[in-house]
Amino acid sequence: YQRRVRGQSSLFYTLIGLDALSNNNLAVPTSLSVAGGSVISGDGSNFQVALVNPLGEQVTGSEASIQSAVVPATGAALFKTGPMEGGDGDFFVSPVPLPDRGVYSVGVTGSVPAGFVAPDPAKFKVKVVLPVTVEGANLKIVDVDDNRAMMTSDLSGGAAVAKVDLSSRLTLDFNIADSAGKVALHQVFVRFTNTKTQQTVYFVAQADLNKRYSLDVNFRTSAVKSFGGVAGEYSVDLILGDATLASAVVTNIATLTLDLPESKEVVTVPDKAAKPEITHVFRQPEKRPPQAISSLFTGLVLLPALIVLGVWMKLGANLSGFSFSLSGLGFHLGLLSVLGIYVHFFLGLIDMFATIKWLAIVSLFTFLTGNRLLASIAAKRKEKK
Amino acid sequence: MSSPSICEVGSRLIQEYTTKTPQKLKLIDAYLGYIMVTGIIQFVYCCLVGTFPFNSFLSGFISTVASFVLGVCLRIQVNPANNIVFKDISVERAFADFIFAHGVLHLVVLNFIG
Repeated sequence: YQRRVRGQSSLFYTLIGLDALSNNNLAVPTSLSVAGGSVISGDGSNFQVALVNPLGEQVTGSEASIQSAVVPATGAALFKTGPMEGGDGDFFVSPVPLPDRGVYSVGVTGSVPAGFVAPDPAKFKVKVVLPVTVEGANLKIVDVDDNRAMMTSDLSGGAAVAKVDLSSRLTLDFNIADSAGKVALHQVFVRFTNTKTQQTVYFVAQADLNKRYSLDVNFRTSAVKSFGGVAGEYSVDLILGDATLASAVVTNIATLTLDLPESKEVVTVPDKAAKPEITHVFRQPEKRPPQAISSLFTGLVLLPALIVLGVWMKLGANLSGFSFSLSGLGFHLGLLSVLGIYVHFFLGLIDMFATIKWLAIVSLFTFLTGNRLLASIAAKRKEKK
Repeated sequence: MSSPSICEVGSRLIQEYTTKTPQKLKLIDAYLGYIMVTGIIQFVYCCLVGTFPFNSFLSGFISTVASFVLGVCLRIQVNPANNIVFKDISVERAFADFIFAHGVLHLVVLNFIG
């Protein structure tokens, strides 16, 4: 069904219909909908629900109540079950003190006075977003071979500055916590941005079972693999993102200068000049022999036919036994017709379907006459014996 | 007795052939010779100028080969000396088979020769 109407006449008729539904004396349908946002942050905002008729007007004398308000997985409750505060179609409810972050499924039912149709029970998704802080951070630059810590920082004094090269390892571990304790978020990234070329490299910080995040970047292996061998100054940012955060948190935690013996700085300047024109080279026809040779060989191939005719005549082949009977004539005529059909086909005058069709007819005739003829010859031969 | 030399064997073969072979078989032999020479000429032409168009060369050459084979079959079946083996197949039947096979062969060859 269409959720929108297009055009003035459609709008007019839609409004007439909604008005008829809303202002009749028999039964007015009602529905529950979220008024205001469905995001609750920690600042004490309420969850508002409106009970309205089709035109969006609130229904006086109606009531609404919360049936359930839990996170489906953990069962933590956001609102107390029971009637909502407010009245006359405008209801609100306050969250329990200190709700946990998460996405809650809230079931609401409403009751209406006579003359209205009770709304269907509604299920709304309400999200609780709470701010987080990074705690207990420990950033270290360590020598790869002897694990000597060359720089440590707890990020409390702002971004750390350090020099790294192929013998360095960067380790970072930290907690993420909100007012309720340690949390695990969906997106915890550490981004290295080359200040000159703006190339970025992302690493994912992994959490262990105690929800402590850690990251280990070994420059000996990752300098080429991840950084592409590009030396220079990199700014390191910690990025936190999640559905239960109001917005992503990006903090600059360090500025590193990566020294490499050979830096592969890729400076690509797109070539905007026109590329050379491509001229299509058509397929050259195959080399054919000169016409003289072809004609010569055509003659050569036909020559043995004449020779064999001569040899046959010399051997004494003759047409004296030719029977001019019906079957005799018919057989030879049939054979010549078959040859004729073949010649037509070879010249392209008829296609294979027509050839087969004609061949079927003529070959049947040829077979019958040939059978007759050869049988009579065989009989004559047996008689002579 | 000393083994006969090649020339003696050859001349004796030719003499026996011309006298003892029935005329019909000699006719067929001439035909076979003609087919073979035609095949050889086609092959020489292909060696000289290359195999383009390959389908034409193949169909022409195979046409000669198949005709030769059919001719040999006819000769075998018609040879009076083989009468014991081919008792059930009369000369006329052999000839009819020959004609029919040639009909099919030429249809296929003409289609393939392009």
